[in-house]
Amino acid sequence: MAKQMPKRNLEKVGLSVTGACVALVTLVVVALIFMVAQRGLSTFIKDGVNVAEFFTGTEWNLANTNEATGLPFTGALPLIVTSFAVTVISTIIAVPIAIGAAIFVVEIQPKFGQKYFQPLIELLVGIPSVVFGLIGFHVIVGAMRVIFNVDLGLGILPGSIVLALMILPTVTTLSIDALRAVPDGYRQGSLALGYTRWQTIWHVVLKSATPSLMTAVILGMTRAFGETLAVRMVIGGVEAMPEGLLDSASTITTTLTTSMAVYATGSVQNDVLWSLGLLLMGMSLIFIMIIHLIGAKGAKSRG
Amino acid sequence: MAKTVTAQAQEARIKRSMRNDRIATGILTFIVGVVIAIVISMVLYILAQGIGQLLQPGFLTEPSRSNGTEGGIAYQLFDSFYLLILTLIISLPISLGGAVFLVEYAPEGPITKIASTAIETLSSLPSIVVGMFGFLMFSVNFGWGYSLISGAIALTMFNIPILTRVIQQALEDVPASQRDACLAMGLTRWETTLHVLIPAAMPAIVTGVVLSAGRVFGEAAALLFTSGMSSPARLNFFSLNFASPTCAWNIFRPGESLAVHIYKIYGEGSPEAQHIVWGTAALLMICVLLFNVLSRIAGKALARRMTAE
Amino acid sequence: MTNETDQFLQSVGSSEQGKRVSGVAISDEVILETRDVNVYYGDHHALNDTSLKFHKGEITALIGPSGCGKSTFLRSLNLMNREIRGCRVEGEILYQGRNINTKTENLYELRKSIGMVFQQPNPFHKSIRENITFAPKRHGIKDKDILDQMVEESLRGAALWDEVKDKLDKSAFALSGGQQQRLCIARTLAMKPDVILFDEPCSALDPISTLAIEDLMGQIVADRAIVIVTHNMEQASRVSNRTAFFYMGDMVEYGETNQIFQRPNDKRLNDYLTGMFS
Repeated sequence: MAKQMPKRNLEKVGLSVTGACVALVTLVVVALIFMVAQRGLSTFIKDGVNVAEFFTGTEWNLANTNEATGLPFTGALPLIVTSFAVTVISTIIAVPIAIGAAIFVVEIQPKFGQKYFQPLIELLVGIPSVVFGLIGFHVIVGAMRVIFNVDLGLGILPGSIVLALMILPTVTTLSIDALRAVPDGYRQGSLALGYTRWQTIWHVVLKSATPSLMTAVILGMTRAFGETLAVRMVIGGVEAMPEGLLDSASTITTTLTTSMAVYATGSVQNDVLWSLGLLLMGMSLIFIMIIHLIGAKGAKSRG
Repeated sequence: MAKTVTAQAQEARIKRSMRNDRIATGILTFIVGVVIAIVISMVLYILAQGIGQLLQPGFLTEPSRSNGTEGGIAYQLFDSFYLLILTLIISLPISLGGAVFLVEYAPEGPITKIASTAIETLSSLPSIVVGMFGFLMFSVNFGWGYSLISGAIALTMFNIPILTRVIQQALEDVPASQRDACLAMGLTRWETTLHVLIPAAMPAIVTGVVLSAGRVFGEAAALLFTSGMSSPARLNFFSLNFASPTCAWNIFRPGESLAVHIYKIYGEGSPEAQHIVWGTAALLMICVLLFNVLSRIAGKALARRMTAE
Repeated sequence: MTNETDQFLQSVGSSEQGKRVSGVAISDEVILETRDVNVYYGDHHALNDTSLKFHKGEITALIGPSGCGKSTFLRSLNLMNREIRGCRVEGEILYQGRNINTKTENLYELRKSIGMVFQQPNPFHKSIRENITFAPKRHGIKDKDILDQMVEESLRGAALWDEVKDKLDKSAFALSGGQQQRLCIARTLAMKPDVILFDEPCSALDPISTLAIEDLMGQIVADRAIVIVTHNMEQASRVSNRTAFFYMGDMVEYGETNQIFQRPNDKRLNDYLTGMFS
């Protein structure tokens, strides 16, 4: 009999090796949250930027100093407004299309859906965001110029359209899963009562899939809110309160892209940018919480 | 008299709902048609715009000049694959270990809950935040500056949640009876996982890993502040002096991926720069398509070999 | 005691298998014993104070309606319940007179001695040979000759050798369901266990494969104890020496198989046997 490690020790090895992997990931995430929070909060604690001013101020200009406070202009409201605007508008564009496509794929042409439509949608997931941005920059922005007769064509609207394209596959795939999860018995029951297919879909299938569909929408919004480069390429980059959908503007993420490498670590300007990062992180945590709440509520209503 | 009226109303209602049914079906068909048209035209548009440049002699084999607005994209192509490989080398073992822990060992209770929440949080963080963290932690605090290794770690953080979930799912899909058989013969969970569960889950794992590789390959936001926005002007692929800034394999040198390259020069006005942008985009698309196709083929081939040998 | 019936059964047993006798107790050597075993899944009390003895050379059948606790009890005997999260087993389980339901018990060694065959045939995605040698190799046997000998012995033991000896390196999944289940038995035999636990081993098989497995059980029981959980009452009466009836988490009645099937004492057992519920 060859010499061999006792089984009990072997199991301990397995437990520690895999446990270490999980511990490492957890540690990194905790470090990340802690670091972002620490740097982001030092804007308000160390540098003396007013929290209310940060959230409600309408002037953002890190290059110039505000005579009144001796600090840069740190009113992030225009960025926050723009971020929410592109998120909401892109969701409004993408969700009807995504859910419509999901209904078609699950309820009307399941074979076609599984064989052709889903691989195609998965392909869309894989297209890099800079490629979306590039197409946005050349095709969508150009179309804006022609359709609305404006000079630049950059702004919130083209940003939202590009984002809508990017979140479309996420929302569609998750909606397809949500509709597939509705038991067939519900459909047969409704059809047996003499309802048409559409009435069945509208009153029975969509209704019972609502929590999962909401989760799909929120996940899409999470992606839209955090997306950076594709938006950066079509939104213009002017850090001011947008006055229209075709005014050059800037979101939280795009501001970070352009300014992060400019200011030295530890400067007020750099700290303010970390505050924006903290805001982004906070929003994605809120999105996760909403998803968990929906899940918990769904589980409760199912009993 | 009254009877016929209700009968008529009933008939009208049935007609109306039948009509609504047809209209709804029509609208849904239209939506799907539009989505398909958009996807196909996007892919074709990029390929059409870039294929000419891609076939230019030297585009794939020459380094870029004038800050990327002239010349080829050889180094960017190399850096993209090098970054991908570094990322997989780091993220695959960690994700595999993490997934095995969560499926096989995770004790019920707060520890497991915290761990899975942490992974979920990581998956929802915007990649720009991951990039900022990577910049501060690795480039500044660790003093690695703009380097491939900083970039690879940032990509790893982006990739771990995706991979962990894929592997977890693959392991859970292996029938429980396989695990029972091993345990009932006095084997440990560790042996069961290594010798039975992972081999059985291999097709799904390979598919997932290759698909995730496609995502990593196109990611740019997390790289801007970590691996940087330029490759060295001159790379020596035969140098084994890993500390030299011109050694291609030096993980502490800056590097630029194809996606970052597109972002860097998309706004350049010169016709040549525009050709390069589209050529790069077409190359990126083709790579992503290949990853997509490859993942399916590899997964299917493995599954076939496993069941039919 | 109806002596005639016993004699008849004995003669049937001996004419078919030479020496196999079912329906009555034939041994008093206890290999495995439980004393007041209780099993809980979280808050759910799945099995109540169960005390049973399993004898060398005998097959014991555990019968009862679905969810009565018989499989739960079976899975306690080789401590497989420890692999289920939230499952707790209390009481004494004595193997060769030693309590194994302790924290310090080496369950990896123990499971070599108490083998298990499952409801669904579950061979590994490996060749027939590797299906047999996989576990012994992991337990430290590396010598190729020993392993080859083990493959032949255990496949012969499971009456499978003649059917597969020319395709030992083919995938186990190329075998039929019944052959796969016999391979799983062979795999268990390779560990030379003192006890083999069968968890409804024939429920996924056709009648002919079922008879083959029953036959096999009769052949391999000689120097060990076999415990079988079954839904099939004919099967229990055909193969077993003793039978225990479980109902709603209680072990209600236990005795020689003939007595259980012909003169049940408990009304619930009588109702179950006459098909009032299943």
